[in-house]
Amino acid sequence: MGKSSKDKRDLYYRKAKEEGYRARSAFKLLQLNEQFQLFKDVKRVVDLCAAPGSWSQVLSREIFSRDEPDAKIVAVDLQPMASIPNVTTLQADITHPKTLAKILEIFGGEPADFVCSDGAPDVTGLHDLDEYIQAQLILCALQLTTCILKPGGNFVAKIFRGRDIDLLYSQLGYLFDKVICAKPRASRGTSLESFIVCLGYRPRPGWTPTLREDGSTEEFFEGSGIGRASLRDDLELEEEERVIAPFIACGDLSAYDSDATYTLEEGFSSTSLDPVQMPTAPPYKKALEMKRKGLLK
Amino acid sequence: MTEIKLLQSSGPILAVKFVDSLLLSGEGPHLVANDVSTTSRVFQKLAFKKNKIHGIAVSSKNVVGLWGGRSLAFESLAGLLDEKHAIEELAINDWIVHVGFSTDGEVAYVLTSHNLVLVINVTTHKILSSKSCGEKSLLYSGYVSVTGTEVTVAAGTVMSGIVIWNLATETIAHNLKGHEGSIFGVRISDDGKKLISCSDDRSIKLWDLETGKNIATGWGHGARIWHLQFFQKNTKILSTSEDCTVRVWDAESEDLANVEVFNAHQGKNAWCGDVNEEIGIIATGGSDGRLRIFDVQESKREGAVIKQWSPESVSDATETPFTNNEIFKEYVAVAGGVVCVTSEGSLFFLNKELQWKLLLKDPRFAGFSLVRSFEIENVVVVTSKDGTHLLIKLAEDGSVQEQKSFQTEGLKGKVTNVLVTTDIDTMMMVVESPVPSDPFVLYVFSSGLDVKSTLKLPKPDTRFVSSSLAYDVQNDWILISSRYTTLVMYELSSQTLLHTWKKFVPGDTVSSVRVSLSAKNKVVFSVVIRDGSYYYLEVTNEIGEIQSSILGENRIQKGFLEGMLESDNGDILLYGFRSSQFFVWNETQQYEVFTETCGGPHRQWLFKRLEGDSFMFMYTRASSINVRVTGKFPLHSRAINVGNNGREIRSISIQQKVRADRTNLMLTGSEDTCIRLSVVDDAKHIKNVWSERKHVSGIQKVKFIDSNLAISSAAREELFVWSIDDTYPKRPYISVLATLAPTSANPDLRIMDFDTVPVLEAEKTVGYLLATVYSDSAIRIWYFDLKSRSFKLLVEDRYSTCCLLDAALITREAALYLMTGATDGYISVWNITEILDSSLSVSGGKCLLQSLKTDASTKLPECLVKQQIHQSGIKSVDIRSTPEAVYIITGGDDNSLSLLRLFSRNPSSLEVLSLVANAASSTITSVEFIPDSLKVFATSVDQIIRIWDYSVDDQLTLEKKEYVTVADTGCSAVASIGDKPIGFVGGAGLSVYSLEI
Ligand SMILES: C[S@@+](CC[C@H](N)C(=O)[O-])C[C@H]1O[C@@H](n2cnc3c(N)ncnc32)[C@H](O)[C@@H]1O
Repeated sequence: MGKSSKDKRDLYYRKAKEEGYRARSAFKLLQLNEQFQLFKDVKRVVDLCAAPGSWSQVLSREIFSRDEPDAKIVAVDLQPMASIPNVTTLQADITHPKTLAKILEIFGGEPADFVCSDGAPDVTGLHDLDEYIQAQLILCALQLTTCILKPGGNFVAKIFRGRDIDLLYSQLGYLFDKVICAKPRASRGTSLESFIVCLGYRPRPGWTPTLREDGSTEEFFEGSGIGRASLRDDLELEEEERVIAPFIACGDLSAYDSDATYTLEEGFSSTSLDPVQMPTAPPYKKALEMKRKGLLK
Repeated sequence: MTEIKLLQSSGPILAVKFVDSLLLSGEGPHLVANDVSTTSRVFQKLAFKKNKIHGIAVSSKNVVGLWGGRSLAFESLAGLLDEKHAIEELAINDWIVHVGFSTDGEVAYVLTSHNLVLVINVTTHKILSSKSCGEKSLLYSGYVSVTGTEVTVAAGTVMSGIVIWNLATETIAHNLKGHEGSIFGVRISDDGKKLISCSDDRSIKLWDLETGKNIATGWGHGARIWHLQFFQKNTKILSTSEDCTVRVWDAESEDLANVEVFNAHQGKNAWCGDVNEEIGIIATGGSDGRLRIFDVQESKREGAVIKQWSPESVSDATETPFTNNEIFKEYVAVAGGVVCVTSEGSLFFLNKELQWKLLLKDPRFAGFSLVRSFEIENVVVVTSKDGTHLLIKLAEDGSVQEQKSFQTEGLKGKVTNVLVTTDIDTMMMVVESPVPSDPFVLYVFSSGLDVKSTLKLPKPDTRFVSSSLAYDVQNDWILISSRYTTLVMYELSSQTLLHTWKKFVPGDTVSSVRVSLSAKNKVVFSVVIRDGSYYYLEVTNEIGEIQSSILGENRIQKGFLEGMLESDNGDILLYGFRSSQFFVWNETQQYEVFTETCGGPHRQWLFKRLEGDSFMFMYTRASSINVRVTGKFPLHSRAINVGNNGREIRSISIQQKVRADRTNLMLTGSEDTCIRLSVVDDAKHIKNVWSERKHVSGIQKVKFIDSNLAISSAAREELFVWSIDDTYPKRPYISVLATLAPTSANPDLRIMDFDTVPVLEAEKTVGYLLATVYSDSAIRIWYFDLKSRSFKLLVEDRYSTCCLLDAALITREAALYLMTGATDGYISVWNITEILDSSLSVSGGKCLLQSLKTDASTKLPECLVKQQIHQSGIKSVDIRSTPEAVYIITGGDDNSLSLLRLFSRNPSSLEVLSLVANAASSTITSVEFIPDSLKVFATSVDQIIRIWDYSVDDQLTLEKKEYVTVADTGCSAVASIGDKPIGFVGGAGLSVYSLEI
């Protein structure tokens, strides 16, 4: 399906273009904020896995409209990102320990008020591997969060509610006052996507998070006492703790339904809008080109 | 005690490994061993509680290492072969990428996804040390290579290429950069000198590990590549890919020439592969749950042939001079070999020892001739344009035993086609001229080559160009097919035309007709259409009148069909051409069994199935004759496991009625757009019978609505009514009875759910009331009339603007209700009795046909109930009607489960009896009342199935839960089979459970 037919029917996509957002994801963050007042008193934010940048746009409009003197937004992604007013962008892999160190450096030792991550890996179709990589993205974000988030601050990350999501709920429960699984209406009901909203950061007593450039995520959380599986000498399989987080659907019921099919007449002009942000080059661009030229058999 | 017992499961196969003739495969958390020499299953053992087996390695001491997720096991092969021995699951604290063994087999090197190697004693399971190169970013792939005492690690990262490091020194030797995107596979050659890798960029790169230089890059796969390995002393590379193909590459060629391509799996993803060089086979596993075997040494098999003859070489071999322009014309198979006629009227015989011999040269057949054969009788017939025929009977040794010539008289036109067919002691030939007033002239021959009878069959009154012939002895019916999908049937003895089917289906030429089943006054013909479709046409003469119906129909995805065969075990084999290839496709099991790149369909060719499912394919290319015989080899291109759908299963329906052989029918609909009809046997083995490709978009729902009817719905507003004929013991048949036309041109509009109620007239079902709900909030109620196979729209309305997810029609004593569930979490109920009144009435809980309104449809009345039950989408609803009330169970995207009741006290209130907020840690995708109990079966994406009981005060209490290996767990069906509730759970795979309640 071409772009133009998509934007006729996906109302969030269309609305994003009309409001100048680079992706329809912007509305997910806006709806989460409506429910949880995430932006209240927030000045300094880390936006992880941020490309093409619609969350950063939302945050930038919100924070910089308030004219805060020491406001700061850092946006990180594997993909290059076009610049956004008042946002420092960084092209890097958040699973690489050096990336987190770099972000801390940009913040110059100052804490952040809010950390968010909308990260999603390219899925392979191996569900357990995809869930593992997704959990790794969240853990990397959490690693940074424990190093930079002020006590009482909030953390939001995209999750896919797969078979081990309750392990993550349990671990996050050790670090925050409240852990909620939230689903904004802008997120499709047919996808497993939802967001983990962690309110009120509570540093673990007796554990000082220390980022080491040659350390792995597993090593980072050793001793944090958040119930992660440990490496046992005898390789015995131990069960990890599992907890189910409460579920909250957010966004008004009168908001658009991202699963519904709309016809054009319902409230939109029919002029086609140009995409705000061109899609980035995929790694298999050359393979596609060769295929087009008939060079692949 | 409530129990949930796993009976059967199939799902993605992520690892395969040969240990001699034993093929080990990781099927979900089970380790399965098949002996490929006997193709029998040796054992199936549970390796891990939850994790799937992602990798298998074998040490020099025959210890099998298994890993998947953070689970790990080391078991001796002898232990595995011991029936009583259970696999001990070990675990570390991180995802395992690869496991290598030391040369002496004493220690294992376990590489984690954080680029850490744990050195573990294989016997004591003690961690001896932990090694790292200091780079601990995330890995998608990795390999631990051991050559002698040297241990090298290749780590495939997300963004930083491949890191090569030495285990002993913990230092980085190379960082190989050149790929784009994440590295999905790496392998080091067994001499430690070379490395192959693949990434998101879809290329394969070969590297020199001494210099760290990229030697060559190969392209070919149409999607991501998952697995690579060297074989044949590192001269060849095997790759498996998301594009479902498995390829062999020449590692010594400049840009890794792709020397072989196997279409291995269905849907998406060929995950893994291994090579057995001794036997000469490749084994692969895929998302479709299939274990495939490919013969890579076909030419070495007993009886295998690959050969080519130019006209000159045949001329030399037979010492027969060829004229300058003499070329091979047609060829036909006979019992002892092949007979070929040349453009000069020479007939050559090629025997099974591949020797050519000149049979005769007859100038009457120079220029134009037609050759046909009665294969079993070893008889060939050659015909010239003006109707001269020469019948030749060959002796065993290929010499001419007898020949007779005769002439077709009285035709106004030239002979343009000759068709033959054989049955017990009957050789039959039909001669055709293009002149419409010329009859078909039919000859029946005796084994002595005498014409026993000559019959004149009048041509049908329509454009007719014959293409194929079938004769049914039992009824003495002869069926001739034509272009324009036209068929004509005669009774032979009376020479009368019984019936003509003019353009009986869309398409053009009928490539072949055959008798598939025959009984008195009843024949099932298989009809293959060149454009890729085929039909089973049932013809009866039971009431003194020819009647026919299409029992089964389907089409292949790509290519043109020339014919159909049945294999020894009754599987349907279709063959034809796809671009430059000839292919044979096992339609029953859905895989390719043979391909030959021959240049395309415009050539002479001959295809024959030999004993033991071996094939012969002969074709002319560049004026030479080519022949390939696959030879006697039971492992030639086959599937050990057939598996099921290649993509996620979205809907399951079980036919409750037990069939004569104690099996049940099952329908599944999947993301790959296929509707599959399968047979579930006593042991709950599932055998696919048909894979119907009528839908073009992903299936939302499929459901039996009666013993011989089913409906399926999908995106793009597709809805089909299927008729299932289960009267023949050979196999059930399925065909489309009716198609609901889309209401709009919007390709995004999906029919999310539907429900039906039978409509009776004089106590007979004459049609169905059908409610359909849509992604644009539309609700429609139709009357589907069985006789006219048409839909009449009775009610049309809209719920709101949100997407509807569920529909149910509920009949009570004298009323009919419609219930819906939607993405807003609301359940709504309407009493639709009155608005349907003039068309239908409800009495005694049954829907009765009155006079159908012919004017426009009506709207829904005011709704009776509209109540929010879930915070977000209601993913699944099931209904149980009791005389007192209607119980409703709903499962939501919000992880909650609720039990509701309608009509018990106040007719217009929906009581929430029980609501469990955190009934699962993820979306509940399917809920079902378990027959004959006060229990509910719930399936959720957290991969847990649960049984809830509500016998005490209508409160839902969890009774039992069980982990399922099926990921993306999206649908279920509970059926009472053999007095026991059986639960079927679908998603990325399919598992069957016995629910012991
Ligand atoms: C859904 S998009 C984010 C959309 C963004 N919030 C917006 O509103 O424009 C997910 C992003 O995660 C990024 N990502 C995935 N893995 C990553 C990693 N390891 N490091 C950094 N970014 C990553 C992808 O490149 C992708 O751009």
